[in-house]
Amino acid sequence: MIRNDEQLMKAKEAVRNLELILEKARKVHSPSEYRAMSEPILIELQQRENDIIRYLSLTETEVAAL
Amino acid sequence: MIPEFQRDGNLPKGLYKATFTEVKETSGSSSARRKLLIVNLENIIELAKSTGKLERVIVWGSFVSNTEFPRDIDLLLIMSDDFEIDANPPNVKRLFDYAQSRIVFNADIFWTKSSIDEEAIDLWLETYQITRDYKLRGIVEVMIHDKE
Repeated sequence: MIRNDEQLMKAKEAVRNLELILEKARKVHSPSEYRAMSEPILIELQQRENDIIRYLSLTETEVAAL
Repeated sequence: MIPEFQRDGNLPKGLYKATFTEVKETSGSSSARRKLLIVNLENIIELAKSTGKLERVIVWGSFVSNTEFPRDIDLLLIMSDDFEIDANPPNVKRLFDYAQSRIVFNADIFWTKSSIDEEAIDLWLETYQITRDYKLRGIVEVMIHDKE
């Protein structure tokens, strides 16, 4: 769970890193291998994106109360 | 060498190289749960090594924290560029199937070929030094050629 803007930046950085890893991985793995190896990374990516969405859905007052 | 845990239970940020024996001593013996998971980790490493294509093993998450009851093992297997899943027997293939490896080994097994390039692997390792609650933590590379 993201509690402040500093953690938001870390989450965004993690999302960007995971996206870059997937972009590079797709170039060096066969289609079937890519489907297999990307699965846990995509799950992680989704979890981090959900964290960002959840945090950005809060008002300033709600963030201050975290 | 694996350093002391921080007050939050994680290792200090960084990549620490350790033999399997060291990992077993620090993370695989203090509870029944840990004893079970270290056997799973040993099996994973042995199966991955049986391909002849394993280059690196990196472990992170609760297993390399000081919690008594780690949920699972999170690890990355880096395989050589000429690794092919289908060239292996079924018991090895399931290592590289995310759902099966969760069931069989209680492990989130990430894997890639080393041809993804060093920069991507560095990004990967950097990313997993950030916990899900956005704290920094250390991760451990198991030296596969030093296993006793």
